[in-house]
Amino acid sequence: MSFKQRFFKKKIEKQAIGPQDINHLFTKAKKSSDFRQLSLINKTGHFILSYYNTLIDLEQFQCKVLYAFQEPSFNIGHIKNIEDIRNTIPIEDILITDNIEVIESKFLKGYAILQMKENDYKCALINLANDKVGLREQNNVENEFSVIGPQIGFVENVDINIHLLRQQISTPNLIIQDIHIGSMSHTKVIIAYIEGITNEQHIQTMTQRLQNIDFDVVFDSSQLHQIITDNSLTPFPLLLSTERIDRTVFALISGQVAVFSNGSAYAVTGPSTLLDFFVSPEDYYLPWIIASFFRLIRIFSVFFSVFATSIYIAVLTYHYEMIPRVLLGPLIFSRNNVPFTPLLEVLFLELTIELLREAGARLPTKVGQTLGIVGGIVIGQASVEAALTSNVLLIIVALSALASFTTPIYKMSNTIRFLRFPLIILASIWGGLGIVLGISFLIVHLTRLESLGTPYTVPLYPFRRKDFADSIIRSSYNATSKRPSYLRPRSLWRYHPSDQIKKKNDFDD
Amino acid sequence: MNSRFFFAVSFIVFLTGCENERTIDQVQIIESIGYDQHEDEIKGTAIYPTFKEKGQTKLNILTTKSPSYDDILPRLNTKSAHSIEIGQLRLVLFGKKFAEQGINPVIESLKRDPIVGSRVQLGIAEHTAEDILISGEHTNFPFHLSEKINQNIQNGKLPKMNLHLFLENFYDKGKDPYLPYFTIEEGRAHINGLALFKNGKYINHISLNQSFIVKMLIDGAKNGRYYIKINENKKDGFISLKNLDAKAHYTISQIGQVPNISIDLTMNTQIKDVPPWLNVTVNKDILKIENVLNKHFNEEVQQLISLFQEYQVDPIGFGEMVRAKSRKWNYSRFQDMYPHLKTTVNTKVNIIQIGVGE
Repeated sequence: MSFKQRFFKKKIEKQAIGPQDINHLFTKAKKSSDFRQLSLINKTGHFILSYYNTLIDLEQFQCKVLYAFQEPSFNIGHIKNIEDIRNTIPIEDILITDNIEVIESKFLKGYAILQMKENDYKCALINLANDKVGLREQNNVENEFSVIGPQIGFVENVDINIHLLRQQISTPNLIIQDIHIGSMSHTKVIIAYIEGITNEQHIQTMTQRLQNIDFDVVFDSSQLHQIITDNSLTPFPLLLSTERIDRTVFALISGQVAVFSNGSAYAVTGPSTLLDFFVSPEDYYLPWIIASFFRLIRIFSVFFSVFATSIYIAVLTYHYEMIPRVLLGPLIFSRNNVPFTPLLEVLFLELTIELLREAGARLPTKVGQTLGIVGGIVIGQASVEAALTSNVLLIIVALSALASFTTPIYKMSNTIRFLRFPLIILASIWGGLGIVLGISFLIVHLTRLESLGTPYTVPLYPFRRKDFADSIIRSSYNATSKRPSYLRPRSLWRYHPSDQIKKKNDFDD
Repeated sequence: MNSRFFFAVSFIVFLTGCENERTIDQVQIIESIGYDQHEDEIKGTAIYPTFKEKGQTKLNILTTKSPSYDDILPRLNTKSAHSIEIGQLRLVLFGKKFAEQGINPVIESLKRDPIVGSRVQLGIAEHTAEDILISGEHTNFPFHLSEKINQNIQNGKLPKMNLHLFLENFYDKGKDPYLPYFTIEEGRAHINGLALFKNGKYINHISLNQSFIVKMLIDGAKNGRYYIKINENKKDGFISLKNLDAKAHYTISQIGQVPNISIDLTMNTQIKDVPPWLNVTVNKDILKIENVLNKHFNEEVQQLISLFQEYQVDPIGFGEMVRAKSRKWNYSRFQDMYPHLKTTVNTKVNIIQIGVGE
């Protein structure tokens, strides 16, 4: 099949079945029982209002629309034209159009259609939408908890999210653009950035990728994340998704772009780098020395989590000569009655831990806790007693599972837990050589990744010395006054730290 | 590309079936091995620990005889349920008779085997290596013989040694290797001096006190207790001292003819015990003790060097020192010259600590 044929074929398939005219729309809608159509005055065929009663706010409908037509001083003679509706109904968002596509999408989002006469193509769309119904009210951070700092997170309503964002960034430079994505859902997706800081290229890339999306229903922003990601053949999340406001605001002021999608409590920010995923907002609320220490621990725990079990396999299967003299005894007697090879032993325990995590995540919180205790203590202890696994391995696996949960971003901690398995297989095949091969593959893969066209491993590779101030360690606020240069921000300085002496001396004050 | 990829992967999977897996609980890890000459045959003794449960570590002994030393390990393998592995080998012990024949072939093979670490300790047993190894069986403390050597290097009178340093001395023409010398005292293995080697063959051994002097001359000692018997004005007694820091400095002159080596040995010591007729709080007595020690060490060093010259061994490495200074160094010429080497010894003992109390 030639290219041209293929191209045209695609175009034909893509054509959506849209409504021909407004009557067609109504005949379809009438099949649903929640569709209502009534005349506002006692003259049939005039001032026909059509709406889905499940989508509109009935109180508003009664107080502002019905009342306007039924109050004693109402004179039908004032409305000669459809445009005059604006003066009668005290609602700001009234749209007058004859574009059937607009009508249909607004109608399905909770607008009521008002026609002067039956079969009028030009009609008024009155916003009676009630989009807060059914959404959760409380917006505590649930999954990215931090002890210090604000506990407010995003909710499923995108307007509230933007409101929360505007509360923190009060500048007209914060630009909000919407796109509607989803042939079925017409989900409102918002791109936020700060003009004068964010590089236009990032905005353009993000906008273009979002606009090119053809999808039916957008359930969550993480779906958008998957579709617009630079490389879908990677276990690494290339954009950062967070439910924390402070994180999103920090991304915006550093010169990143944020994407919100209606119905999702997660914002997607990008371009992000590998190290961004190991940064916790708490780092910025603690003194920098302590914060740096904990950040280092977090980064160490990643390495531990990825390599601990594979090194265990490699050493126990191939490299017994490198075991220190004092460890030889404990390792041998803990493995003494275990009938499996180290590989099976490790896989058994790793899968047990994954099962516990998966089951704990699916179950309600209260049951989940019990399950954690039962699983962790009883199964762990019992499998050692039954000599299915060794004591030492139980400790290593539990520690590495624990270490993987120190990563603040859930998607990244999943990746880390996933990365273990190929390394375990490699270690069981080739021992230490296998681990080295795995590491080499991982490094090559990581350095080739890009996030919105920006290298993923910056500032490590390509090396950017100046951006190290806030990477592996979190330097003091004096040193982090510049935005990261790899984001190519339009203005470099975040703030200007005073050159005063570091120790504050209240003697002079 | 895909089919090529799967081809490669299938190679990985199928070929690794041949890879030599050595799971830690499926191998017999030998910790020490000993070689003895038994008439025409060589007797090998190996110790391996078994770790059953916590606190129930057992040492087990395997012995075998073979005409050739290379055959010992394969023969031991036939006596064991798991394969014999020498990756955790920490001590190779040679019986005196075996060492007199030369330990070169064993050293050669140890050196070539990548699985054997370079921190393996070597040793010489007075009678047979077997006795020494069996004497430790009941201790049920794995690696105790090699730890004994390490501990005595750290805190005792042995100079630094292991396979790596042995090889350095072994291949260095201007230096001769030395190994710890084990005897049995009341049923326990005991380090009782330093065995001297020449061209891989055992020559003789020196006492532990002399070994301490060798240690000071080679490495400079940081540790070690030393006893001296003194005799003055018909009163005798012992001075016990702890060496804190010793350093030897060598100056070589007359490189052209027979070299003259002058040794400056500086020792900073701590006095532990003195006979009751000496008072360490009095300056006069301290000076006296210093003089006594100076004289003693001077004589000891002189004696030891002449002993080495008599045996024609050079553990201190005078040959190496001369070679470093001269372009025309020649091994056989130096061998002839060695017994006539002139040495002058200056010792300086400083007592820097005498303890606290009244």
